[in-house]
Amino acid sequence: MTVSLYRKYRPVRFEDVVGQDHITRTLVNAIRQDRVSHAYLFAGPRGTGKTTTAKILAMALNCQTGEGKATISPDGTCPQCRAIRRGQSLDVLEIDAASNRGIDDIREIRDKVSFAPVEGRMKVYIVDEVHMLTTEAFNALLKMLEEPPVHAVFVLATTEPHKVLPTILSRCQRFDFRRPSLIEITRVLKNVAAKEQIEISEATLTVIARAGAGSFRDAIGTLDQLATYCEGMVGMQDALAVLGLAEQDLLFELVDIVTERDTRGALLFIERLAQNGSDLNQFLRDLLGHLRDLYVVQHTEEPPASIVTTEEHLHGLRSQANRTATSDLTQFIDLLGEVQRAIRQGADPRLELELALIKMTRPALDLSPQSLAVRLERLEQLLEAGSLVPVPDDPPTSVAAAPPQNETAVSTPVSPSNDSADVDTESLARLSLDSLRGAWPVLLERLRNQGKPRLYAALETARPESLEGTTLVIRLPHGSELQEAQVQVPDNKAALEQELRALAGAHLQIVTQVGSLPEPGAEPETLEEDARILKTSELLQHLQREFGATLIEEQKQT
Amino acid sequence: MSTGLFDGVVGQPLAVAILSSVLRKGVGHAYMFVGPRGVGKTEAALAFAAALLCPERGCGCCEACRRARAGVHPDLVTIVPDGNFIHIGAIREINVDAAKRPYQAAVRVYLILDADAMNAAAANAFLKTLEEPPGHVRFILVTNNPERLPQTIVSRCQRVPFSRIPVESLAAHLRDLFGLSEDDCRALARVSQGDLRYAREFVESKSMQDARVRVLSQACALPGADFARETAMVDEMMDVLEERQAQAVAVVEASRERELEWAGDARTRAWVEKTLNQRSKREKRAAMLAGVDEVIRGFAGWYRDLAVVAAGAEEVVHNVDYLDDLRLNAMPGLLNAYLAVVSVAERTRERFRYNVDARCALEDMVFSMKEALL
Repeated sequence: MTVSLYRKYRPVRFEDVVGQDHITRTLVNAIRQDRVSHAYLFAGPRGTGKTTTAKILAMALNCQTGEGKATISPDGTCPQCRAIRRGQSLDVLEIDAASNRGIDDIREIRDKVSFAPVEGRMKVYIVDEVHMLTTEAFNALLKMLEEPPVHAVFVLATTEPHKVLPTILSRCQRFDFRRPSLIEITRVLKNVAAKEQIEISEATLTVIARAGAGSFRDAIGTLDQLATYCEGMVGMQDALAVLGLAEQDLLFELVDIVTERDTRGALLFIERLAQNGSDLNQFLRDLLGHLRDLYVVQHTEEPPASIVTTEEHLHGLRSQANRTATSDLTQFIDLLGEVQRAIRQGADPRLELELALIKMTRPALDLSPQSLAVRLERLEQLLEAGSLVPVPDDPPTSVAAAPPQNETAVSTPVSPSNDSADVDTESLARLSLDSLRGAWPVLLERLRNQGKPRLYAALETARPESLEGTTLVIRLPHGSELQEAQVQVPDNKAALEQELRALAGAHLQIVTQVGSLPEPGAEPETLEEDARILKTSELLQHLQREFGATLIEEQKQT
Repeated sequence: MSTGLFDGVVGQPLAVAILSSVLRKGVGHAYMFVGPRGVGKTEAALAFAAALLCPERGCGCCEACRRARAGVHPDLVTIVPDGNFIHIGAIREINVDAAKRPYQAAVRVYLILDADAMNAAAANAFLKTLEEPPGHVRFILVTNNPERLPQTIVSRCQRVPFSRIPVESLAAHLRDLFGLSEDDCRALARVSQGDLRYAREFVESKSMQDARVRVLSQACALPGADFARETAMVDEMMDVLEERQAQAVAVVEASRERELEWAGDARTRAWVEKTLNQRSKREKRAAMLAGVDEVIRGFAGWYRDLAVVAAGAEEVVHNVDYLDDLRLNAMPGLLNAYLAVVSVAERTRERFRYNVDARCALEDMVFSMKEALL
């Protein structure tokens, strides 16, 4: 087996630990002055060097070059050091507190801690993942941690110090490992790449370091994987592919699509990503990072060190930041953050991303305070620019032709209302009679909920009959003159028109018809027409057609 | 290494390229196969395990290869969730077991399926072993939701990414597999959204096809449904769920007599009875969840499709075979309502991760969806 690079290049001297000077310096000084404490707590995020530093400290205390004293520069080659590095030393015990978390495990340590070291000078207990100890186990540790024998040193290491009892914390010297900067990680990667003879560009190293998100182990692990994948020559494209990172161009493209409110374009964009086999989870993370970068660039003169980029990329960021409103950015970040949460709960990434994109491109749909703020800001900008004229929600286009005259059996034509000019031809084009019929029940329910129960009752038996241009003919059954009058009440008609507009996105004029006046092309078999009695053979035909019934046996009536 | 090793893995060029280069150049100690469900992660993991265990590094035809791919090689340890979780006990067993030498092969492979099912205790107990295992140990973790795993676990593994299978490759594969017509294959590839396992099961199972038609027609009828119809919908869903559960229990019951036959004394009998009862309960719940998933998937898919049609992007519809109905029903003015309905579906899915009463949750889903549409 090839040993993972992150294990192979574990630092073995204090000087080699990168980015934690505040800790190594304190430790080195403590050793120099012979004031090594008996209990340390190493806290910090994953892959920042906690366990590594603990091991170096153990070596420093036991190395033979110290000649009976602790040394600040363990050689790493004497038998003691080698045993410690391999985890085989009898005096340095690495304990996995997460799998040995009970009180009995701690009691076992307590029973043995009083024995003098076998080979080395000091006994060092490295208790890793200490946050997983049970409360009882923590309490059993307390006495030992406060006053251990002179030859014992405890090093507790954890990624979650807030889970460690305060009584434990107060007995330890606490060292907080900080997240290394991008530059530090890149430097380490470069070093490893040089030693392993991996050919890789500086820019690619930066990408890997960034993906490592503040962890040396993640970054070196990725480099390891890439070196294997590419056989020695690592290119930028390979790195992006293996990490599943989105190319910068794609991020710029999507943000532009969204700010142009192009819903269709955004949905097609996601389709394209999915067909390319992109990891949408990762894309979401990258998109959020990109939006954050835009946000930062928008508010700073000089980009901060956290945005390490090329000149070209920075230029792109600047120009996109200039053409994007701050309120848009915050709203996008909010919506995408919600998506991330949903995905963690097990939702489908693609679905969630698509929904969020629809909301982002149609701010009118979203009634949250944030979205209202966005719309308000747009209004203010328009006002300032002096270009505010009453505009409908959707880009208006004037209706070409006047509403066609409907000559057949129109009982009460409706006078065209004033705002018929702003009919959205686009939604009108999409609108069909069938879709109106499909949405009819919803429309009625809405009317009822708006305090129009009479109109609801009147329309309950009605159905959209035909749609020509902007005229919608509603047919009421035979003998419903009373209901028709109800529909024609101006108040009611206005409400109906408004609902239709909200649903269909187009302004329609309503014409009502009563009874079963046959029209050319009208479907003859509408059953509601009359209480028509069907012949048995007709009934059977209907059953077969509508329900797919099969004729089993014909029974003769006697 | 033979090239045919990963033949069963469809439409995952990147993952296959990574694994092949790993096998050529040298294998690390921990890999995490990440990607959506049903795209061939487990098949790839078994093939990779075979390559690790085979003396010829994956010839594909020797005893070791065959056993590994069937999952019965003595040096291949497979861990699956017990119930909803992988518990600390299972991980402790690995920690001890990993110290043992392999029986036949040069290495011991631990395959952990649904690794995100590890609870916090289990994941933490795994950290030390996962970081620095003995030299003869290899770990393969398989997960469709790495976000649920602690970062400390993820950071210790090399990632092998899997993605949804693109329509083209999936359609081609289905054509080879079942000999369906070109159009059917493309439609199925879209409907399954790149999920090969779903597509396969869908072709083979009549009941799944029926279930889809039923759920979609329910979803379609919802806007016009009155209270009685809504209640009837929930009744219908419950009937299907109960039927599924009954089938699952029947399978377990069928094996009861056979298993008890081998149990000698009363104590063994009691133990066998107990494990059978546990299994039956587990299967019952799994059947229920699978059924619920179908319903939610159907409703969410339908209203997502309505939303994209209403937004004018017909090309990305999933239920392509229903495109005409979608066109008929999609209203631009209801776009907001469609989004709300999908959120209701997702919320219901989330609820089923806890022990909710199925009827209550489904009723709430149907009523809330209707309300969102108004």
